[in-house]
Amino acid sequence: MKNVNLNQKFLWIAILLLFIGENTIAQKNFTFYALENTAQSHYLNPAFKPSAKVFVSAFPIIPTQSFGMSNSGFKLSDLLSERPQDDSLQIDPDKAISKMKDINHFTMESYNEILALGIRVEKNYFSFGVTNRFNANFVYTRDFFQLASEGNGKTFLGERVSLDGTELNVNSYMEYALGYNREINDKLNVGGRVKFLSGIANVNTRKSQFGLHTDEVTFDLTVDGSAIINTSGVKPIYDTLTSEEYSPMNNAYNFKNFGIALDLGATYKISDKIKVSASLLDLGFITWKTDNATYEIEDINYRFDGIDLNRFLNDTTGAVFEQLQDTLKSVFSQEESNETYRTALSTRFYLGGSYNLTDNIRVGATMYNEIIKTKYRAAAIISGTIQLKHWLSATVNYSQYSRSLGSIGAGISLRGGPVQFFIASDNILGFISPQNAKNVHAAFGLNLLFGNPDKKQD
Amino acid sequence: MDFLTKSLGYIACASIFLFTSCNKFEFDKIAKGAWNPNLAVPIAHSSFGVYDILALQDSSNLINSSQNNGVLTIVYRSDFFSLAPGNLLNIPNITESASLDLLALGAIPVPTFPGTVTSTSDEIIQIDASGSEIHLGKVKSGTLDLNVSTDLEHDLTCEITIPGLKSNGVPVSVTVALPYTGAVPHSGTASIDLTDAMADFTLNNTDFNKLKVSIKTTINGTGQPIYGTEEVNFDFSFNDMKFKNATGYFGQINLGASSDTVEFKFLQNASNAYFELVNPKIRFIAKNTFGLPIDYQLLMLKTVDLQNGTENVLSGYPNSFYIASGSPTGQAVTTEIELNTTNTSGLSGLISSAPKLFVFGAGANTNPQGNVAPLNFISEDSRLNIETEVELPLEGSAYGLEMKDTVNFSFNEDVSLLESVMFRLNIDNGFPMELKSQIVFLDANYIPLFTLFNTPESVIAPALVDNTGRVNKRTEKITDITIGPAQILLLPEVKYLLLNTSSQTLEGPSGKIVKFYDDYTIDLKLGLQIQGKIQL
Repeated sequence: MKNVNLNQKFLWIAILLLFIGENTIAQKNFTFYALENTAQSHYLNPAFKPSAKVFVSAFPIIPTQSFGMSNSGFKLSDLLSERPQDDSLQIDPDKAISKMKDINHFTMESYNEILALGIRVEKNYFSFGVTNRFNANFVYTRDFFQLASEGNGKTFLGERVSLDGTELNVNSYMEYALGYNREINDKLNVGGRVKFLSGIANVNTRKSQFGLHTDEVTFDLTVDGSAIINTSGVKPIYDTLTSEEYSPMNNAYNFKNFGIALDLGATYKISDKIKVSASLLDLGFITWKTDNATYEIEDINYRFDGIDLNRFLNDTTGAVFEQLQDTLKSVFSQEESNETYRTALSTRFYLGGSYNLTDNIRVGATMYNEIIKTKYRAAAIISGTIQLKHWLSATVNYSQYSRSLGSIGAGISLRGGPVQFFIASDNILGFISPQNAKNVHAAFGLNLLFGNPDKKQD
Repeated sequence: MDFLTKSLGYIACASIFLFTSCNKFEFDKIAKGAWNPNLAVPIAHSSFGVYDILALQDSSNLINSSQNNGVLTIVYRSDFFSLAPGNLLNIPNITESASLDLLALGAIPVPTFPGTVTSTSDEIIQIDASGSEIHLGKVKSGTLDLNVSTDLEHDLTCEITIPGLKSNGVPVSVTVALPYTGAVPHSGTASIDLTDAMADFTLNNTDFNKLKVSIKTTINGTGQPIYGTEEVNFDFSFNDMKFKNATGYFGQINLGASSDTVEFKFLQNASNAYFELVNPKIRFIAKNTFGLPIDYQLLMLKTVDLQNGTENVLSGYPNSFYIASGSPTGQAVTTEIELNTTNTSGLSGLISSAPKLFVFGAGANTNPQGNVAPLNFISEDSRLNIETEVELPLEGSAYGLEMKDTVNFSFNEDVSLLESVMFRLNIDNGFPMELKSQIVFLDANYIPLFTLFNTPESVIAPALVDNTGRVNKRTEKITDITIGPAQILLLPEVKYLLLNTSSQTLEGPSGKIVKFYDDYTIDLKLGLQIQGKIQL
């Protein structure tokens, strides 16, 4: 009866998490959370570790490469519809717009491991890794898309087009991580990683409030808003005074844009069958100091009601448009500075639980949480993992995020001798039916495992 | 547990089957679509006052007439007539002669004359002033040239003095010597510069146009005989005489007839109209610094429409006016002659048919009352200028004011990108005027391609007025002008726009009186809405 009760609890928890996941986005490699026999699970919870005594992943073998992309606003199939007269597909922006929420996110994230190694010494596990990380986030409003699609002469006559909250955030940095993991006792494992960060380039939208109002009678246009955008390593790219030898990648190793971050994790075995885990990742920041440019547009409220006809009739056309140009320059003038600024990483934390149905089969539920610039997002994952022999491990999960119907993820690791190959995706439908996916994700790599890799994970 | 293992296996197989049986996305089925944005933008705006509107053609003629309670008035001016002193006083070159015989010279015939004899005599020179009577004057320029000749075989000296010509208060005088050199006749000459000389042609207030010449002659004998028939001859030539001023009587001179035109600029594009103005006026303003009166005669007043040749001849006006003499101090005396609705019939309809020109002719005569006191005077600065003013107070009614204008047009954009174009005209009118408009799009041969508004459509609604005719309520009107798909395709062929407008004052056909003040404005906003059709 005890097992039955626990199964029911897991079921309810899973259902609850699925509903919470309505507002979540992005691919975060959480399939690895269930592939505990890969060294990469250590990145999602530092309390996880591989069975082997030594783990190495580095060039020229393939270290972990991960790429994910998501769009919360609409799927490709939302943008296309069948033409009535034939079965051709035509672009149907209205259909896509109807699927959007007021604020939508388009994100890209890559995780390119350059070097990773780990050594188990009795109950201790030490790790080191060098990874190039990149993430970009474009936040767009439904009004922005609708304005681009239908112009301002239909729905927006007499209405304000809201571009409030439109953001572009890009973050590229090199991560140098030192990890430590220890088995405190038979039940409790704890681990942590300290990551030293060298910022490469950054775009950080600190403030973005813009709107466009079209007068329904006169068509007068009123622009309002303000913005503050920090950039680092971007301006030299288009600045004509920059040396041709300049590359933002020079900052990958010099720590001029220094940052630090912390990963913490723990696992606890409640019983032989039940284990719970938690981890906190990327709690840290980067201070951007070099090649900075901060652009600030102060509060504007400018109404354009056409050219002054009286002036047009009494002056040269060139003079009239020069004055208009000067006015627009004055209204939309931006202040530029090179001040130092700090950005926080997107801090994530996992809460998970697993239940061993058999010696080889495990089911689990995980709640993924993310905080990006004070915005909270979450995903819920239920998973089933099977360990066949010592060389094959596979997992299938179902996750709910990005306002899609949910994603089915899968991962598999195969090992022959010391070589372990793994491949995983948080949404395999993204490859099978891309038109119906809001997100695509893939990760793969090769590990070299030495010293008792077949030891069964607890 | 085997059951669970098998179940997971079945689920995995079912999932794989499900995934592989999903409809494949066929990218090649994506057809070319269309992007149909609808853009609405403001094009232009302005607030026009009266001066702004008339600045396009006629602002310099617009005044705020305080005489008419601030009602705006269009005043057209023309410098019609100008008279300079040369027209009145021309002194031709004058040559007068005089001869003195032996008796006048105080000599007698003798076989040999070695002695000396002196005599004096006076001569009168008549000045021909082309009919004018000159009494006094100051010479601006001119010379008196003298030629003296004699057949006496003796040396001769002549001292000639003109008391009526004084330079610096001293009578003009010159001495001419005629030495005998063995041949006769022998002669001598002299020239006197008369610049700034004061002239008195009255012989001590007894006459005019006359100068006395006093001649003192001395004969110095050479021992030759005096035969008894000898003479001394004098030639007096006044050349290039100009006066700085003159007093006298300059006669009844017909200054001739002249005509002039005033262009009604604000009606130049009007093809048809009816105006009824409350109180138009025509003024002739004479500024006279001549010291003589002038009779001014209006010979013709009419309006002319050059487009159709229609003439409207005014009648009943007083046709003769007396222009008073100028002040003796040189100050101009202004004489104003006004034709208005009380002394000229049909004047309220002066511009009823929207004429383009006001044509008038006049003549003038000096001294209409003849030679009566006081004497005339002129100076080199004297002028008579007659200015004409046609004053049109903007108070009244008008209708049927039709105007046409053709303007160049060029549209070289890709019309395939346009589904329709709509111009929105938003007029907030503070003038008591209504405007209807029609636009015809013409090709290079002026052949109509299409027309906006089949009949002129009201685009400006008149503001309302109180019982004095002053606007007390503005009127707003929005007009949408749509160019549809068929018309857009023709736009590249359009080379000209024919703009037809028809306007009238508030309830103009019923004769409602409205007034125009300089605080009236009309606010205009022009917007553009484009429906695009961009093939992707």
